[in-house]
Amino acid sequence: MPTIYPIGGGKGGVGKSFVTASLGALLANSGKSVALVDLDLGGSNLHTFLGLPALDEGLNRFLDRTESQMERVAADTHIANLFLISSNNCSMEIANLFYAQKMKLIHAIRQLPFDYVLLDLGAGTNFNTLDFFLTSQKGIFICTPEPTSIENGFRFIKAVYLRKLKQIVKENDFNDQAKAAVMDKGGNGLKAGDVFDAVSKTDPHNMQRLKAEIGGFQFNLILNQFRRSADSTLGGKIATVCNRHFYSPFKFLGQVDFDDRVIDSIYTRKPYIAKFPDTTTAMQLKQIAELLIVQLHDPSIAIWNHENI
Amino acid sequence: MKTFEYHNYYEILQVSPNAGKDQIRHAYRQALDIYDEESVATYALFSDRQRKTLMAAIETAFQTLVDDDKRDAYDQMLIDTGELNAAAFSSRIRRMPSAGLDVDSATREESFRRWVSKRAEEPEMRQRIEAILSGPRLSGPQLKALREAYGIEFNDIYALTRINSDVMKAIEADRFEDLPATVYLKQFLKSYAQILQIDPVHVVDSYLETMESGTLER
Repeated sequence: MPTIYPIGGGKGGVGKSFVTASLGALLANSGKSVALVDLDLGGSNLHTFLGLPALDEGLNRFLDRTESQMERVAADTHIANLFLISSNNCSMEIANLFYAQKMKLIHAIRQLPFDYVLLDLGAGTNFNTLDFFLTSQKGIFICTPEPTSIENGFRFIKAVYLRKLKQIVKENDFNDQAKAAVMDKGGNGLKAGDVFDAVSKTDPHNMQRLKAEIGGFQFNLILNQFRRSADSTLGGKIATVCNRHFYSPFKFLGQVDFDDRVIDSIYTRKPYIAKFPDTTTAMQLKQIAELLIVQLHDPSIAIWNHENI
Repeated sequence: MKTFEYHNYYEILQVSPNAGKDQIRHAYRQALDIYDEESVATYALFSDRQRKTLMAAIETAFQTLVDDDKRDAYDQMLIDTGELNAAAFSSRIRRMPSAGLDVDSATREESFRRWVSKRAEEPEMRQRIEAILSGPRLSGPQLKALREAYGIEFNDIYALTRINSDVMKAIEADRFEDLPATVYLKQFLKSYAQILQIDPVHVVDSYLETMESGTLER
């Protein structure tokens, strides 16, 4: 079973694909086998960050059942141990994935025979994106230090959090009243607080369980495109405040400096990490990759403190 | 979303029941830094109503814990209701010997300066600063009034500048005979002015002018 890290974060253009490609390359460099899955369905361009052309084969073959094993549609990259499962080859209507297809994808991803699987997700908070994010018990969300990005980031977190809470109630033996209370399809503006209220009113014995289950899901934050003018304590503050107000734990993994050369690396079709391995930005990404490896070996490791970076 | 509903004041400010005033003030500034409506860290995280409730709780917690009498009464209430054990308060040091000795002094300084510069934007503080800058001569009591309006204590200044409170008191009381040599005094005034977010050049020049004429008159 692979260690899966979905990489999301409400807003477009904050660097989800860049971070996915970079962390994938760094994990692969450390000797781990890594698969990147481009799940920005309908907007996929992860191959470009890896310096690869558009791939004819990938998820399309798995979805049209000409290939039954997902790992067999993984393409080589220029980096040893690093593989890409692209969705660029899928139909133009792939963004509107059927429920059964989504479940099939999630199931197959969990079985992929790699050490690490990184999922590059699209912007926004549609159910496909949220469910891909919930494939694992820990996800990475990416923001830039701008208010618009933080706003969408929080919206994304709240959407994931609510979806997870509803899943917990539906998929476990909570009583029927509690299950009915969370059956909202979005029309009634159900919020996380309402799920807790409903359970505490109709099924109080399961309250502890709800808190424990949601406490098992971990959010990891990366602040990308960081510029010197931004508040250097911002990431730590976001993690602190989220830890106080959500039942899920939050970790700040670190910040990654903005670098114009990211664009250069795309034009020259070479992964940034390979082309500029000694920049501050690359070093910061490396520290984050190391953190992901350490976490795997020691899940009880103390909460990462941004001041240690 | 969890609110502060079930938190006591120490938990709201995230300080120990034995925290000194200085730590409480620092914790309060940090909380404002996070929960203030202009804070990027919580941008759009809370609804207006939630944020107002959180800010009101922080304010009440601070106003209670920073006042010795109110704090004693509140502690007694926590003990009486069984929320905290009396032993939790046994080692309280109400007055910290000096500020700025914590390991996180860099963050501390940053959050302090941010807090002051935010305060300096408020109309009331702007008016005060404007009045001092446009006035004829600068005196110690004017600086003192400005410092007190901010709510800055000698401890805070010492933590950032290492100017001790005797020098500060002499400056603020225009006790020119107790002031250090001019070369040091200039440096002190400059640091002090920077903390108060008021033009250092004006403060140094104007204060020295006042001092010269004051010393002559005596």
